[in-house]
Amino acid sequence: MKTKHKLPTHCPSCINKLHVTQLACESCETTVGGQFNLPLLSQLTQEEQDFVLQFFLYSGSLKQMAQQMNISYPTVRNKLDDMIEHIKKLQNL
Amino acid sequence: MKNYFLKPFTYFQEKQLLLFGLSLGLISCIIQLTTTTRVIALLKAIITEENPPFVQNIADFIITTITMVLALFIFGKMINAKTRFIDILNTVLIARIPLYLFIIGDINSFITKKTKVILDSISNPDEMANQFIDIILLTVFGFLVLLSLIIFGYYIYQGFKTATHLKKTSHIIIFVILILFIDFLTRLLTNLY
Repeated sequence: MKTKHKLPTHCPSCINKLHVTQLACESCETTVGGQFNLPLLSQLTQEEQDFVLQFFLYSGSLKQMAQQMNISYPTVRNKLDDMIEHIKKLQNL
Repeated sequence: MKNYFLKPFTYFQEKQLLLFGLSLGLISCIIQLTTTTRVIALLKAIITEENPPFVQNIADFIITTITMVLALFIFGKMINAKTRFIDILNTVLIARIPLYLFIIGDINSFITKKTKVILDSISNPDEMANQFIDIILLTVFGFLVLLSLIIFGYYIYQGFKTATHLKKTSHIIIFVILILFIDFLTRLLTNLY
């Protein structure tokens, strides 16, 4: 079985944002080429993506998240605020 | 383990911090019964003639804590509307723990007595020479008190930063000025009774 690597979002050479130029079907090996933007959530860091997933799984309860992650409530809330700021910046790009 | 000491406001839940802060505050008030020290503000303790009564210790503790908490809470709300009262209360309760060192040092009026002996013999060089160990002791204690003030500064900043998501330099400067001003104000308040 082929190893699936994490999707890189930034160029390792110049650190600029990467775009998708090719998509492939695993079944029939058809490929589609073009210039596609990465979805907003994919542009987040791995830590931020994990946070979003946890937030979703805990039905948006920051208190529950804080208890499960063994960190305090204001720390979780601050992380969320930082992420909101980051997402707003990405939206404006 | 190191993180629990360096960033208690990140790794401990609010109830744990509240319980710990209140318990140590109460213990400090009880220990104070064996001293001739009165804590009239977060950063100010004075030497009294007699052991302060328990009611006064508790009143001092409540007034000094609540005054600082209210001031920081109002300022915190101005910085970030999501600031919670409990987080600011925990910040003040935990940050003032290192300052209890002064109370511990004066158990059985230890520091007060040593200071008086040295002050009495200050005009007599021969007598001063006999107080050499006490002078060293008081100097070391002085450095420890200075260290406890630095630790207080570190914890109150860490706690306030976590509670309000403090980022701007201008807010940090106002925060420092506010602490000093409220501390001065508390000294006046506790002197009223």
